This record gives sequence, C-alpha cells and structure tokens, in this order.
Amino acid sequence: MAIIKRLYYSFVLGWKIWSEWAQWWIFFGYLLIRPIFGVAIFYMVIYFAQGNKAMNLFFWILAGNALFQILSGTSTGMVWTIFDDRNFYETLIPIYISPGSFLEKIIGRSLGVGVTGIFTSFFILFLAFLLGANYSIKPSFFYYVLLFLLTGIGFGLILASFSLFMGEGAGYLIEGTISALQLISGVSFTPQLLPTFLQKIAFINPFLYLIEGGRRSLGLSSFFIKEISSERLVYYSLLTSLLTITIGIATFLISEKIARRNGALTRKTNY
Amino acid sequence: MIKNLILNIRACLGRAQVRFIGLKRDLYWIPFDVLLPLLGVSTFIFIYKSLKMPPITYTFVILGGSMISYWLNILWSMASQLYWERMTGNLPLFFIAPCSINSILIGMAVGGIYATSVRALSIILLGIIFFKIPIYWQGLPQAILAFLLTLISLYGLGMMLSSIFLLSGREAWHLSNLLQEPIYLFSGFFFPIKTLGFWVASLASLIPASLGLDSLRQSLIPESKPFAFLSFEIEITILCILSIIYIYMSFILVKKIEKIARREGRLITRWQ
Amino acid sequence: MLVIETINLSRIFINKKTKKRIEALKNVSLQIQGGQIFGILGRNGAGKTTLIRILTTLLLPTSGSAYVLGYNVENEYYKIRPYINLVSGGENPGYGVLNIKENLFFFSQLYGIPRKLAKEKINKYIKEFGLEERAYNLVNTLSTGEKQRMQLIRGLLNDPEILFLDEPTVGLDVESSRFIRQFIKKWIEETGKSIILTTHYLAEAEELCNLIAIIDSGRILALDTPSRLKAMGSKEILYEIETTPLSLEFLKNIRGVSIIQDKYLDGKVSFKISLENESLISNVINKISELGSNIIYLRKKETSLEDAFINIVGRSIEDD
Repeated sequence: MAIIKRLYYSFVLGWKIWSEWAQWWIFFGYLLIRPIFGVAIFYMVIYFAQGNKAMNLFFWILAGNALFQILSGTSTGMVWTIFDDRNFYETLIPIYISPGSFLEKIIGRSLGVGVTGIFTSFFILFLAFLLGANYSIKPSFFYYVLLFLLTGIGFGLILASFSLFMGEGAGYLIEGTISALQLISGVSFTPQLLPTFLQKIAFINPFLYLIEGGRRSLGLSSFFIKEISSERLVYYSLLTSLLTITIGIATFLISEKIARRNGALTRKTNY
Repeated sequence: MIKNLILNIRACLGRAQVRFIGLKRDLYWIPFDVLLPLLGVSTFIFIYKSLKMPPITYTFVILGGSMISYWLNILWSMASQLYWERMTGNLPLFFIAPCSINSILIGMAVGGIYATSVRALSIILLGIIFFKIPIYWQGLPQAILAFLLTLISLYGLGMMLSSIFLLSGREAWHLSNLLQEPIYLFSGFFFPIKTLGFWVASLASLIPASLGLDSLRQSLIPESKPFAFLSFEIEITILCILSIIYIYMSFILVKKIEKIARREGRLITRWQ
Repeated sequence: MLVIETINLSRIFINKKTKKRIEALKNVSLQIQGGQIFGILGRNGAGKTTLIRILTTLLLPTSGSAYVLGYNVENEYYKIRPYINLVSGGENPGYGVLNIKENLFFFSQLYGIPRKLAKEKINKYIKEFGLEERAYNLVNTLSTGEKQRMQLIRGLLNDPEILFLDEPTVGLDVESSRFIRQFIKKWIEETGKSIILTTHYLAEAEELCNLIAIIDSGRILALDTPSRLKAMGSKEILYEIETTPLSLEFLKNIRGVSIIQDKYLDGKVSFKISLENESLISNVINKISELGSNIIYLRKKETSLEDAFINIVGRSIEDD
C-alpha cells in the first residue's frame, strides 16, 4: 500500500513539474505541436519522393513512430528526471534520503512525463486517421500500449543507471540510444534496407518484434518478418517487456549502490 | 570609442574561449554530437532508399543534417543559453559588467560556430563514407559563400531569440524544444523547400537556414537545380539582407529587453 | 566623497499569479560616504538584496532615485558598471567546465582587462587567497569556501570603486568566513575604496562596518556607527556584581536601584541591578563596604547589537 502511495505521489509530482510551467492550454498546445510537425515532415518527404502514391508507407511509418513514442517518452523522462533533479532542482538528495526506495520514486516521477508519450502516440494515430489511414484497432492494441509503457520504464531504468554517473552526457546518452534504437527497430523503414551487419543486429533486437506486434494490432500488414504469426508476436513482446523491465530494475539497483559508494549521487555539473 | 570597442572584443573573445575550452575538455560531443544527428537523419535516407530515390536525395538529407547541428546550436546554445546563464548566476554578472551583452552573445556565436562546424563537417564526412553521397566539389566556393551568409544571418536570428528568451523562465527550455520540428519542416532539412509550395516556401525563407540550405544544395548538387526554390543569386541577395536585418534587430532588441528585464526584475529571478 | 545617494527609493514587486503587491523597499533615503564599509543589516526578506540590486544596476526602482558615484542608476547605468562589482554569498557563478584561472580570466575579459595584466592580477590574488594548489582544478570540484574565495577574487579583478558584498559569508565555515572578513578589512585599509555589505550576521556587521543601516520591511529604521546603535539598545544602566556573603535587602532602601536577578552560590552572591542614573553605583559600592562584604567582581553590562536590533526592529534578527 505504501509503495502504491509513494508511486502515486511521485507520479503526481513528476506530472506537476513537467506540466505546470505554463497555462494548461499552452502546455496542451505544446504537446500537440511536435507530433503535428513530425507527421508533416514525414508527409513532405514522401510527397517529395512519390507524391500521394505512397500513402500506405506514410501511414505505416506513422504507426511505428506513434508506438515508439510511448517507449521513448517514458525512458527519456526517466533519464531527464535524474539529471534535472540533481543539477537544477537540487532535489535528488532530499528525494533519495526520504523513506521508500529510490527506484519507486524515480519510476513514479518519470511516469508523470511518460503519460505524455502515450498522449503523443494517440495523437499521431488520430492525425493519421484524419489523413485517411485505414487502421483497424484490435483489442490487442491496448495490450501493446501497456507493454510499450513497461518496456519504456525498463529501458529508461537501464539508461538511468548510466545517467547516475553522468552530467550533460546523460542527454546525449538518451538521445543517441533512442535514435540508434529507432534505426534498428523498423520504426520508419524495413530493416532489410540497413547494411548487412546492422540487419543482423536489427533482427535479434527484441524491440523490432514489439513494434511489429503493435503495428499488427492496428491492422497493418507486415512489410517484413511475415513468417512470424501475430499470436507468436504477442508472446515475444511480453517476453521482451518482462526481460527489459527485469534487466532495468537489476541494473538500476546495482548502479544505485555503486553511485552511493563513489559519491556520484551528489556530483553536480553546471556547464 | 576605441577603448569601448577593445573592451567588447575582449568580452566577445572571452566568451568564445569558454566554448573552445569546452569543446576540448568535454569530449562527449565526439561520439554523440556527430553520431547522433547522423543517426537521426539516416532514417530519412533509408526512407528515400525504400522509395528508390536517387542518391542526390541522400546528399539533400546529409546537408540538412549538418544544418540541423547549427539550428540546434542556435536553439540550445544561443537562444536558451542566457536562461542557463541566469540559472547558474552568471547573468547578473554579465549585466553589471561594462561590456555590451551583445559582445557576449557574439562570443557565444563565435564559439558555437567553431564547435558546431567541427560537428557539421564530421557529419558530412561520415555521410560521404557511409552513404557515398555525391558532392560536386567545383561548387565549393559558391557553397562557402552561401554557408557564411547563412551562418551570419542564422546567428543574428539566434541573438534575437536570446533576447526574447531572456524574458522567459522555464518556458525558454520548452520554447527551444518547440522550435525544433517546425524549423526542420520549414527549412526543408530533409526535402527541398520548393515542395512546400511558393507561399509557404516564401514565408519559410525568413528562416536563414531555408535559403541557405537551398543555395548550398544548388552549389554542391548541380542535379538539384530543378528542385531549387529560387536562383542561387537571388537566394544569396536575400541572405545578405536577412543578415543585416537580424543583426541590427538583435542589437535593438537586446537594449529594449534589458530595460524590460531590469524593470521587471527578470535578470535576477532564478527558478520559475 | 559621496559614493551612493538614494532619494525616496521604492521598489514594488507584483506576483503575477496572485496579483499581490510586495513592497520590497519603501522610501529609502541614504547618503553613503566613500572609503568605508557600509553595512546593511536586516532579517531575511527585509529588502537588503533589493537595495543592492538597484544600486548594482540590475533592477530599476519603482519610484524615487538612486545615484552611484554621482550617476543615476536608471539611465546612466553604463557609466556606473566599470566602477562596481558584486559578490553574492551562496551563489556560484562561473563555468563548471573551466578551472579557477580560466573562470577568472573569463570574468576579467568582461571588463576589458588586457590579457597580461589580467593574468598577473589573477595569479596575485590566487596566491593571496591561498588557492594556488587548486588553481587548475575545475570549479565543480571546489569546496564551498574555495568557491567563495574565487568569487571574491572575481569581484576584485576590475579594482572596483565600490564592491557590493551581498551576504558574502553565508553558509561558510568559520575559517573561510574569518579569512573573508580579514581580507575585506585589509582591502579597505589599503585601497581606501568602498564596500557596501549586506548581512544578517550581527557580529560580522559589528566587526566590519563603519556605519550600519538597519533595514526591516523595506524601510531604513536606523543608521549609525555600531557603538551608537548599541547605545540605542537600552536606556537602562545595568551592573553585574559578585560579592562575599551578603543580604541584598539593603538595595531596596536605595532609591533608583532595582534588583533584576540574584543568585547565591558557593558562598558568593551574584546579582544584576538596574540604576536610574550612573551616580547611584557609588552608593551601592559604599553600602556593600559598610556591610562588611567584599566585591569580587563588578562590570557594567554593555548592550549588544542584538539588543539594539531587537529594540529598533521589535524582534530578533533570527525570528521568522
């Protein structure tokens, strides 16, 4: 019960810090502008290349990006939470020494930011509908949303483990890793286009199957890994999520111990 | 007059030196500032590949990617920099010093241009190695002219934004975040701005990166001429005009904003 | 020479959300002569920092005017800036990616100090401030005391005519605070320049300042030398006396004398008395001798600056 309470309060705190810098309608507009322009960029790129002849590819790209948003939003939130708390708000220490585990508080805080990832994701899908996408949402879609959220937390914890020891590098770490992951997870193009060595990495990358499963839950036909059935993808994705969150928690707990030993928690950078 | 000029040159070089030292000492940029934008833009190269577009489109994207480095530098290291300077307590010290805040901003720009150019060139180099992008090297002198004018007007715009952002608190960070994607779109970082249509492209030309990139593409990829928005000469002329306007405006704006900031106490407020 | 003058200076802040008006300064009129340490003493939120910020050209007054070195802070700020500097306690300006020398060099350039001269000055001060061993360390790795020493060096680089010190020893250890206080005194003696010091440490104000202005709720309530301010602490004349065994009944028979406190311990009597006038003390001493008792200890109790502060402001400097 106490854990749930702490998670909840951390979540509310995270949400408030994230959202209360402006009037609610400004914040809301802020959340909409990035996805709108992101979608517009993809559209213009495809329009420049093929006119309106490749709209299927466009909607396929949007679906991948929408789902990936949940994962990237949550994990990014986690890394920035630690960075901001330590360097700018100077709240990392009071949060750390307060009752309850650091892990719960960090998860709660970053979920406050992560929910906007879900919002952005749904908004991109909504835009796709408006532009004529023919998605047929299956019940498994919500299962995938949950898995993306869990995977985002797990992946965020892995990255946050490193960010405990870093200053500004944490920002580079998250952006770099997310960009690399996006490239090898079939988010915007089929992995077969990658150089051979990257293709090998892409196909052993579990996130590729998670994205593909998510796309199929929107009723989209597969451009690749057609041989794997949607049912099998459901299990693969669950496994990916559970594995990521387990590795995430383990890595974070170990890193926290090391960080406490070598004083990294209190180290600040202000360049 | 001369004494004042020397004072401001010293302040400018002093601030630029912070960036030079930072680049030398904070080596995170090597793996991340070069590879990261390259990874980001690679997505668009692969999309063009999947659409079976010719390799000149890869050059479009790589040149756009190198320009993104400058735009991000403008946003994060120019526009919102004064916000960070306020957070660390440096800003009041800039204002009580006798040098002009503009000299500090120019110093930031000089340091930023140096640091970002290293990154941008690395991106182009990696683009040539990994994607074998075709480049017409004979067009280099024209490209350098376009590039320099783009930088002058772009950093003039950056100085203007710095002044505006000075009035904002935590919103500065969000404003920077917010200005990323729209500018990626309107500057045609991944596609020629001509695709946006005449009127939108004309409005987009107010952002120096739009015409700068278009003229760079024209000079380094002769096959891109059919996709060019305006002729190279017109684009260069507009860039010259934009440079003068933005730099002049930034000087006017910074004075006005300083007055507002002093009146409202914004130079001293830290967390908001 | 008059270095600072304020005439009916007021500053109002308006909270944008609640629309609440906060009067940080109310009709402050001051005249400060140069060549001294002028202290502004007040509780947290009294208006000290607002006053400093107006005088250092960072903030405009809402009404009234202020002159620094004869220049108006409102429209002649650019003439003031070359001659002043500011060091605030508890803040660490500078760049974490630079070491002490690089940071100081950067700040020296904002004043256009020629390269060679700047480096000579920096080296001189680094030695004087005992930071030689840390000169090439990044500022992130410095202790709070070392950071504050670096900040004080920064404030001195342009040889300011007026150095504004806003709570310079706040949060520092005893040794660092003492070092800074001693340096300030020495600097004023050697240069004859001026320091405007805000503090809420009474002992610091008493030790350093030639004149102290006591500020509360945006108003200057008193302005005088520390000793005269202390005299304002109480009108009472207090004496502490310790004697061999004695009954204190006799004091009740001397008009104008009242007992404030008495203690009987180890065969001695300690008591504190209040006198209506100074001459009554001889009556008390004579009476003690007449009664056959010996005086072991006698001291006139001075009022402290704290007493004065409480008397003037109506509450202690530490009260919230």
